[in-house]
Amino acid sequence: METAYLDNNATAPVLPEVLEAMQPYLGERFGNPSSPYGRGREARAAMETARERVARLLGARAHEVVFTSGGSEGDTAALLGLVTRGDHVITSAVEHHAVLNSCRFLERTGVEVTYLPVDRAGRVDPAAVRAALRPSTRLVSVILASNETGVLQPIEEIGRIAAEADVWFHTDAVQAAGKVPVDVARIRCDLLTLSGHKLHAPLGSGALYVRSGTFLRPLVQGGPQEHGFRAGTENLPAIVGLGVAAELAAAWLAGPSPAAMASERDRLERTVLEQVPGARVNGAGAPRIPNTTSLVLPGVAGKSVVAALDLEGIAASTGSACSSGSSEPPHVLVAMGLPLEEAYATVRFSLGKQTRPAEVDQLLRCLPPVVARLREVSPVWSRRAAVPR
Amino acid sequence: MYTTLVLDHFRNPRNGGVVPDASASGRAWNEGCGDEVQLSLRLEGGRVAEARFLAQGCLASIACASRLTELVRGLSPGEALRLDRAALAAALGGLPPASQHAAQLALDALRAALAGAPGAPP
Repeated sequence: METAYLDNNATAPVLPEVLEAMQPYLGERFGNPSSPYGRGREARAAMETARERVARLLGARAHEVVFTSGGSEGDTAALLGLVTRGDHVITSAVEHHAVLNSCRFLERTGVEVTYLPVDRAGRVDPAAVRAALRPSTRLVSVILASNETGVLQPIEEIGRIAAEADVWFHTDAVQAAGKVPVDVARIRCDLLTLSGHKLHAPLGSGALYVRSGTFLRPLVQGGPQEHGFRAGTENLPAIVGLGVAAELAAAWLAGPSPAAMASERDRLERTVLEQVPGARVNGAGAPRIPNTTSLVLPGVAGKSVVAALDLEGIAASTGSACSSGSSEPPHVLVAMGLPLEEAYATVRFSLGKQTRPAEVDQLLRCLPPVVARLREVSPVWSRRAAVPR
Repeated sequence: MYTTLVLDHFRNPRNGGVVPDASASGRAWNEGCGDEVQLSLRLEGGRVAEARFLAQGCLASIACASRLTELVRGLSPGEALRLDRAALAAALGGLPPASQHAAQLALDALRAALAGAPGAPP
């Protein structure tokens, strides 16, 4: 069966060059980077090369890159490592759960958290960040690009406000890194989270940018690895893979590929809007990363569309996984003011560096009839059709 | 993870729509996941002569509602009300544990439809 993988925001497949670079480190080039003999020195050299590559992708210095296990660890380490009881944190309602649940955890330890609302496009108003500042504010944490909609936050304006107020600034760049240029100096962030598997490196790889001079308590306790910011023997094969993926991402960003990807995403959107009556793009009009589209398909449950597409060999996502009769609609969409009915009717498609036009074509062939078929038995669509318009 | 029959009912739902001049109709809604099932029935001579459904939700919710419209045909309201989750799941060749709620939702819509219907037990 023909297949189409259009869920790269969930995980992006490891690129062949990445896999090839990793393989020796899973085999004959094994070694602990902390070991004092040749094998250990070689492991360390490979790790430091990877660190330089990741640093270059972010406009950082190599020693400011801390390798982690991925996005959730990076976000948790950033939030839990900086603030304590009595501090105040400013974040947004559209963060990834790694940030939101870290904030909820902090609240239980006596930290106060402000969750800023967003506009219809899902954007935080920088003026609201300024207005939320208090003498006790220690950290601002705002996501760079939404995993649900791909909408980019006005991150440089928020970074400037945080810098002027002299509070730490963290951004979750998990979905943005490798898809749009990310420069820590322009953003003026003190911490930035990056996940390997969202940029075609292996699962279990990631990095946290920690600006020099940022006092961060380590989340993982143990040895002095990663400048004392993250204990544990480094995951060398994954780190080598992340380094190569970062280098490839930097080269990709410098060429015509991002524009080509945006144009392929736009073709997808345009065709769906033409062929599926009532369809709408979440966050349309706002700046977005080039690979993501979040589509409201009124009258059908997004999860039934995902299931029907799965039967056609197409992988997509709703952002809410149903289990045992309970599934929350994506909080990001609810925060954007979507009625529940539309939040439940949303499907996300996300392209990757390896997505072929034929995969998008397959989706565009299958999606309109799938929606039409589901609408035939939809009580929501039948109520809508009954209302004179 | 789903049986061929469940997938078939999802892909090719039976008896979709609304019975014109229905003798009974009911609706059930799962607040936890937003799923909704509506059933409408035409009773003739104390038996279900026609049943149609509308459903929005997961694959299993649509398949269960579709299969239920077949199962109730020819039954008296009392017989229809004796259908339970196990019977509906069995009539689909089985349902994964995580989808049992979908069977319940369809049965809740049936109960709502038959509440007060002519011939239904008090």
